[in-house]
Amino acid sequence: MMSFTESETDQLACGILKIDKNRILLSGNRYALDLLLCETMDEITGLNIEEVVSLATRIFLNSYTFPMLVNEGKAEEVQLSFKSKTGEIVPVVANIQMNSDKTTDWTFMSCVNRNQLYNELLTARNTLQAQAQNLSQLNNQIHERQSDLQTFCHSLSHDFTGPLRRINQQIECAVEDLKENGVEAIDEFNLLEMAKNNTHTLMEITNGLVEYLVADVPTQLTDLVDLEEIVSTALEMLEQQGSMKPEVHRTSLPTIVGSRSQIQVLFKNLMENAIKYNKNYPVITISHTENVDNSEVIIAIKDNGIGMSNDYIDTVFTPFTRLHTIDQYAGSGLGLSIVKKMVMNHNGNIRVESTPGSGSTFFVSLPLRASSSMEKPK
Amino acid sequence: MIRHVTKEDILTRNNVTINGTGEKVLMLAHGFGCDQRMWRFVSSKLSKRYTLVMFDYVGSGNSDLSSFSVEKYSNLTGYAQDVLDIINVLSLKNITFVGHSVSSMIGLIASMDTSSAIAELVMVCPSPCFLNDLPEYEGGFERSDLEELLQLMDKNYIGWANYLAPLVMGANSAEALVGELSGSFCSTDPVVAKTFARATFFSDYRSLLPQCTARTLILQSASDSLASVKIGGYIHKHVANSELEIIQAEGHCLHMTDPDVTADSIVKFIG
Repeated sequence: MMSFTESETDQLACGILKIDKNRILLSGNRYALDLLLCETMDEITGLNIEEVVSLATRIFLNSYTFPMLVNEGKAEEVQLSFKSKTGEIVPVVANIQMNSDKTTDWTFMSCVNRNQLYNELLTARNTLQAQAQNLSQLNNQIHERQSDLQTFCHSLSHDFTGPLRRINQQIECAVEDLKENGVEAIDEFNLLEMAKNNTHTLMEITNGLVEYLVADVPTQLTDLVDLEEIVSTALEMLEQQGSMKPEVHRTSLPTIVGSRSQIQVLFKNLMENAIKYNKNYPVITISHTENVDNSEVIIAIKDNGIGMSNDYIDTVFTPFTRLHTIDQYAGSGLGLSIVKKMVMNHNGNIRVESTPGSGSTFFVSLPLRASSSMEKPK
Repeated sequence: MIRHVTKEDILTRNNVTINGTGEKVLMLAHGFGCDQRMWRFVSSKLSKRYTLVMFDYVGSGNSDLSSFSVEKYSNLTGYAQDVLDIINVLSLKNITFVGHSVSSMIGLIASMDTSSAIAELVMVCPSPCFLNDLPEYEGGFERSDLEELLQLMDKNYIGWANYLAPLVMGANSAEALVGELSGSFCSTDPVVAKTFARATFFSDYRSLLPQCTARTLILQSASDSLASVKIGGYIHKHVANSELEIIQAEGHCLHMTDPDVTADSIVKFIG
């Protein structure tokens, strides 16, 4: 079998070192000498291998590499740091094997670039770890805030609407008593009627606020929701609230996956909006299409209301945006912003097209099936 | 729900193996980096005279990785508690605890527990503190060297198993650790190994030495870059009932490189 001559090993593009069982350097090739910044082998022969490595490498050699060599006879792809004669640290990757006489053969190559990459990888990993920790903290804070929000909504719903309802009843009782006692005070009765209307507006706003805040509370988006049923229920709810009964033209809507309670509010608000702006004879036309890959449904809700100019289209989903006074068109000013939030919660989309004088069409796209990204933690 | 930890749980957790014959029990505890297999070079000789109890620290060898917690094992007391658990469930009495390197200190901590049954300690290449505290104490390393060690370990782990697991599963989370150990002789889980490395190399147990009452043998290698002869002398000076034996050998793993001499010294010490 042919073997390398000394001059051939000196030409190799990797380092070779032979070390005796006491870890004393016996021989090496040119690459090894160059890496250690030595001219001749005499400069390193007789040194302990631990004298030509960094202190950290010493510990690593003793804790991992040497036990591995004794136990398994070899250690492969080991990252180490050699220390040159002048103290310069050179990262190397080494394969080491132990012979039957306990001497070890080391082959290695400098890996400055790879080491740089490793350093970058370690820095990136540390940064990611810190970010993951931050995210986890933020997540905990969000959960805490959501819990606070739920308590707040509960309190808003009970503690605000209760007194408002009582004020309303008290005004009604007072007016009734006064009328029974024959008191005639038209101006005062008008003032009390206005106060009653204002409490009604406050109640609407409070309910809107609760709905708006509740839309932020995480919910499971896993219900099977029949949109046919949702639209019918929404229309019934509006009728019970005393809204005008609209003429409705509708296609047969599909069943989707999402949060039933949110989708119900979403459609109720959209219908309410569609009815509100025609005080004579509201007509609602509902149609739908499914996109090419059958992953989402786009529902168009067209009304015959007053419409709006393009200048206002971008603002209709902003909370408390009113294009008209509360006396002209009642409402909390939150209905469409709640709709938008709930659509977004379902990873859907909403947009509006409108022509002043002839009405508006809202296009709502909602995924037909649940996706993992839709799952929100409870 | 609090689950009662059974004897089997503890024996599985630490992959406890028992072999040999003899009334005298020797507990062999591996050091940082490897597992109980490092004792195989001395165990054949010792098992003829003694009953040998060997184990893997949680996170090493074939231990139960799911029992690992960064909190418990970030200082040596956590490892010492596991040693005491094993002693208790096996009802061991009057044992000799043979610890390599950092395990010498783990054994010392365990021996100080009042319920402990450790009568004798054999410290193989021990160091109570790897950090320099000059001029009084020469641990051998500066903090920067040890930080570099952690980096070097990391660079080696890149090529090993589980490197990205903690990131994928969430840093230091329990789930990150519910995996399988690679079964490799050297520990390859970065979270576990770095926790053990920090507990080993960044702590100072010198103040415990005078509190040790167990009869102690300190086996120091004549040439060990991790734990010098001077450190052996320091321990000998501060542990009242101790003997120091310098073995003419190279390196930090006497029980692997010079098993006969090591076994003979242990036998001679126990008598």
